[in-house]
Amino acid sequence: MPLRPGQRGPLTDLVVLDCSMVWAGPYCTKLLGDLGATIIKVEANRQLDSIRGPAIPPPSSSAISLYANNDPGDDPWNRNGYFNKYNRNKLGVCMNILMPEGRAVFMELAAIADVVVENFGGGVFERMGFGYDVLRDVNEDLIFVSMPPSGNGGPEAKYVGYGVAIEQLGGIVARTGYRGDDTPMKTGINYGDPIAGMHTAGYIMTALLHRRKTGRGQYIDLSQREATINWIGESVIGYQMTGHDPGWIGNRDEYMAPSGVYRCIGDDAWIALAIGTDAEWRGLCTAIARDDLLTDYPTYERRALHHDAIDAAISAWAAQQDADHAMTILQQHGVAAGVCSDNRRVVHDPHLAARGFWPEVQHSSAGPHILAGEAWQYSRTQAAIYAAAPALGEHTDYVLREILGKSAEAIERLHEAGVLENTPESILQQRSQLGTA
Amino acid sequence: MEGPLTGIRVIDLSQYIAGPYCGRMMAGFGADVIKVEPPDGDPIRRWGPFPGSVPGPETSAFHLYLNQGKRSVTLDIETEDGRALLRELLDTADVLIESFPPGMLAGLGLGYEQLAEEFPGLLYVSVTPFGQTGPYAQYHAWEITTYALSGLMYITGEPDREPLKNGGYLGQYGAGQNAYIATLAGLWERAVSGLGQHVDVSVFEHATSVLEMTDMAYIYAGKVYPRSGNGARAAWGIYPCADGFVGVVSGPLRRWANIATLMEEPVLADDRYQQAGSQSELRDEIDALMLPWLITHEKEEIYQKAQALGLPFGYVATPADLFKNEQLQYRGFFHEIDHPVAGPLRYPSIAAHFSDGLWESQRAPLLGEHTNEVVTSLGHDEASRARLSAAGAFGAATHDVSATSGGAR
Repeated sequence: MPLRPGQRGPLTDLVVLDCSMVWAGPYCTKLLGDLGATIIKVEANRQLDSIRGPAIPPPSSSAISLYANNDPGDDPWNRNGYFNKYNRNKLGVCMNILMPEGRAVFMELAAIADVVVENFGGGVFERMGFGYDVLRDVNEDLIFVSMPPSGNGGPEAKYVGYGVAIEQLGGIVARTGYRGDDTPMKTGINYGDPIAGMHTAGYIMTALLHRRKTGRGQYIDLSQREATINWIGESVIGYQMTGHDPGWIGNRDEYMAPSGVYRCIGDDAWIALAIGTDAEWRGLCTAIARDDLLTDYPTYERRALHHDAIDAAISAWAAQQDADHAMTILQQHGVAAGVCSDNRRVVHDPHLAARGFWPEVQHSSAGPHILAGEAWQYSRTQAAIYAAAPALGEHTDYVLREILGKSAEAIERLHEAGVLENTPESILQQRSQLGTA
Repeated sequence: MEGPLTGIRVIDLSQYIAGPYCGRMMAGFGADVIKVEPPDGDPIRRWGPFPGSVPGPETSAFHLYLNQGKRSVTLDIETEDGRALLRELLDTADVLIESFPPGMLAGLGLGYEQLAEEFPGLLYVSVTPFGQTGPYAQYHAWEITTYALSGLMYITGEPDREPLKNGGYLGQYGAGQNAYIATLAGLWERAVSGLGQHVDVSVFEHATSVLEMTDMAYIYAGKVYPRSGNGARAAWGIYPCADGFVGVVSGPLRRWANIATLMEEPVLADDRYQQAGSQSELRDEIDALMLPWLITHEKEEIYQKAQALGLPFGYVATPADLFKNEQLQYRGFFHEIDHPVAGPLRYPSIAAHFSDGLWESQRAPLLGEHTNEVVTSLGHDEASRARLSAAGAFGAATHDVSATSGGAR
């Protein structure tokens, strides 16, 4: 049974205790929450999830555009778009789990959870006293997930890694770069994180199905680096066959010609396309009224050999086109063309709009806003984005009352003891220095 | 080995990368994945890399990786007998994975709605570029198309140059990774309801969903996000070294002094650099202080020494580097698997250690290797198989299914 109104999807009977921060872990629990699971995110007011941003942002922060309406407001930690994107559908509990009373509440949550996810890395969570062995004592069939950069155990177990380094270590960057350049290029995002998050969500489902069969829980020790390598598997195998590193080839493609982006009318507007079949090639030549190219370069081999000349022909045509119009014309001719969308266009993309990809939520501080959906739709148990990300500690009392069944008095005692605190400690300190606490 | 998905049968009609990658994971965790290929094979068998760059349907690196652990059955579903056999297979199956253009299978009487009544428990998973509905549903796409539309490509590369596609096929793999999650979630629910459903997975929507936060910058503040190349932050990005490239990551800034220690350049510890933090104005100056040390040291050494100082450096790993790394060796990440045509090769396994094991690496099947055994298991005796073969159910009549080796599995 779902624990909150609005929860829909195939996983509404699952409870995940989420002790992860930043991107990889929250990405994983976002996926499970969007599938209907109850995600209880436990945060500490002593150390905010760093993607909430600093509790006191520097006055001329260049990251101001991450805040709702460009305004950090009085509670910037609740208004950061980065956090609010990845933590929707989650219940937010803020408490000090290092205090004995906080620890006790945490253990009660661990006892009712199906899954615990942490991404502290380097055994930090274990040293805080919350290792798998400890939690298993209160929940025998628990699935416990640890997702450090390179796995627990081994010579690099304690290494630290941000997504920017993981995408390099995982082999993606060695394949990314402009053709002919001597330096590779980072991707536009920190790719290691979502890759690790997606792997972990799938492994959790695997372990849950295993538990249903065997009754046994599981310890899952994920390596973010290995997850990334899984997405270049063919390169790793291919290297053994050819003996050479595939390197980077820009917007060209090993199996298609032509392939590239072509500038259109407007500021930084581009159309991307690739030709994978002879039928597509015929369509392209017709669309750009260059049947001579069809005669000159009828085969993939010929097209690959004369790629520059073909690029010049497509560029001359594209330069006279609006990018969206070009996509429509090319697709009508069976060409796999797409506008190179900036973030504004993708938010307004007509296909995504028609698919309901950007549902609206109501956030307690940031107000109403839309959020990116997921890659899947179900015909019967449609999943849903039904709630905005929690403000810090927004659901602390709710979870203690509705899920753990604590009395109002017991919750009040925990507040008085300082176990539950919904304001960042740095703000409390600042206020006390100003005498306004 | 009894795996978590042992007892689940998957009919994998999907081609190329995304759908097959989902099927590969299911096979590795114990599902019986029957890859139903057209008579001339999944077209991915014609994509390389190939040994010595000589193409061959059994030696495509893509195929060997993506179809690990599956059984291969060739069926011509354009024929009535081929379709009838597919229905017989679906009657034994829990999951169907397919990647055809929306409506194509419905045209053959094999659409979700057409099968749902006959096979109410079937989880019907479609993995396509744009999903089953919406104005782009019938559009064509290769990797670069959905990548461009997603917004990922626009923010990759230099601001004064064209947008850059990420290397490889990350959009395809990502869609497959999501299909795996979605399929298992569907199986989880089905165990209670007993009902299958249609799971509609879109590569485009996957790619859009991994935009880090540029979508939020527009949604929250109306900001259009540019490309920023390898970054304008000081001491943060890709730098050359003696044998390739390393990732210098100078955060968290409280460890800045360790960069001076690492690079044996005390000047770097200077207050003005330390305070510079992510400021770009001092980038050139800082680079000039770092480069002499970086270009005289090798990537693995730089990575190890930096990490020993608590600096989250990385390096641009090539496949050759991956095989040399001690951590990956310690974890036994690469599994050597023999293959009757491609021979022994090391394959990426799975990115996690499960306390109960669970994963098993196996080789990819030869084209049609299991047609005979699978069709026989459906109750077709030799005469029936010969009749189906003559009718073209397995493709051209010259394809002698009765002679197909059962192979080792």
